[in-house]
Amino acid sequence: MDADQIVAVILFVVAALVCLMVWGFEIAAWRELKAGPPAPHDPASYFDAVVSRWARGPMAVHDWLAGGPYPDDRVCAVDPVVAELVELPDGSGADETGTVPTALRLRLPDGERTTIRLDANDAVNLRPGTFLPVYPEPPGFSDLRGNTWRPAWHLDAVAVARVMLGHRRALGLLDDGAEELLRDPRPERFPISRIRPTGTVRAGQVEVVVTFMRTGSALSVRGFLRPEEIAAVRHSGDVVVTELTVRRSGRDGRWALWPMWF
Amino acid sequence: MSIPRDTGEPDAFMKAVNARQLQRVRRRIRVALPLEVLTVVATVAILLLTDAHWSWVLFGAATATSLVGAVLVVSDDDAERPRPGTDLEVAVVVGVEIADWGNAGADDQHRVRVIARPLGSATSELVHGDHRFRAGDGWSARPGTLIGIRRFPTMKHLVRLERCVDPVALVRLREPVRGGSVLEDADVVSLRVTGEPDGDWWPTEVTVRTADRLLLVSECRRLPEELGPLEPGTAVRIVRDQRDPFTRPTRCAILPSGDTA
Repeated sequence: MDADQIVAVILFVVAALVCLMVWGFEIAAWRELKAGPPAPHDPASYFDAVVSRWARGPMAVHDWLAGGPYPDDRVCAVDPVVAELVELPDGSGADETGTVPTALRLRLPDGERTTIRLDANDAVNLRPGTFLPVYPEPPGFSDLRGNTWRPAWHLDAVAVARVMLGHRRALGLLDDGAEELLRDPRPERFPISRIRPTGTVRAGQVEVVVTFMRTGSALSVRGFLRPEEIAAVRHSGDVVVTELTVRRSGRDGRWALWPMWF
Repeated sequence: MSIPRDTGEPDAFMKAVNARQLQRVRRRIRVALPLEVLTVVATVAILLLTDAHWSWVLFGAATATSLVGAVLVVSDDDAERPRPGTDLEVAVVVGVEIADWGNAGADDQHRVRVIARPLGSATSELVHGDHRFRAGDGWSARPGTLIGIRRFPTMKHLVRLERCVDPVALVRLREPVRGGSVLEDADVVSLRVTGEPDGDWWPTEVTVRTADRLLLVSECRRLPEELGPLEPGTAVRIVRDQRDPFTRPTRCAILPSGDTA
């Protein structure tokens, strides 16, 4: 068998396998379609996903964005600042690994705007209004994509929690007991019975009093939530809270809303 | 714990789309399978019965198989739902879900699912509709803003989002503003929740200061989600409620903000 015969045989086998695979997909699609049209979409299912994400602990920026370098022992010379995501342009050209070239338009604490281009693989975490710890490149420098700011990749989960709680306290979204959230963070979900707005709004977040049921008794927490998080609480039927002070001498601790860390 | 939800039954449009897709897949399978078998049989027959060089025969067979495969993967787009003839309603955006991201199509557009609450609706009356935007422009739609919707009468939750609605006409569907329709810039001075709710809708009073230092009040029932864009100090657009042209106005309506309005 000479070389062109070998090439012809390989081409034939590959083409036949590809066709068989596609044909298998078509059979699977036929079986699915034969079962009838899917049930109409339930818009409230989105809020279940929001509450599930909310119930997570603090995480490193790498895990949250699923891109960039992992945290290491490197010490960054400057402290990170927390920017707010304003717009999410691009998000096109996903590759096989699922990462998507994305541009994040951010508002820095001093009101300046900057755009960070990076690869991310979960758009669910990227939405206008979310916070992102960032730090500047040295003056006059930028990375290969032209970014003059970069996400705080070097922070581990505990450091991210400390930065984000400090930012929320600075905005007036958390009270002085917030540092207790760093001691033994333990989110818990409970069914709610009522959400009451107090009329106070800070940094675009609305202060609410949420009444929830725990072991048959009604408890209340007061805190700030973004509008979408209020809708998530109402339409999922659950709130994520944490007990700030561990029980001492048989007395219950104080409850607080679990922060949406980013 | 999740609230039990009834999303209704698929309507005639969904059933028709399903039937078309099923017919398309069935046709592909019926055409493609015989063509595959025919290609293999013809290849073997030519190899056995003719003197043709077998590398060329196999190459031709590979080409034929690839063509059949190409026929399998080509699909037609289904038509969009026709615009419903129902009345224009006002709804409050409460969530924006990314429906597709990372694979903008040939038109370079992404799609988000805008989730909203029609005015005065009960907790279970969520509606949703699709909003498309250019990938390069991004999206900044924030929950809390007002949008215009038209319900599809055969669907429980699905609505059509009306993007090109005059904001003054939209806000007039909520607050009975009389007089002119001149838009003004103003700053929010204070925000108060003034009583007990009707369902999820709380009576609120928003005081704004206009450029000519006039204090005007906007009173209506709002969702807590709507209060986010009404933080004191925030710039808003208003239209004055000039009930009596000979007295100074004391009331106004606040116009929706955001790019889905």
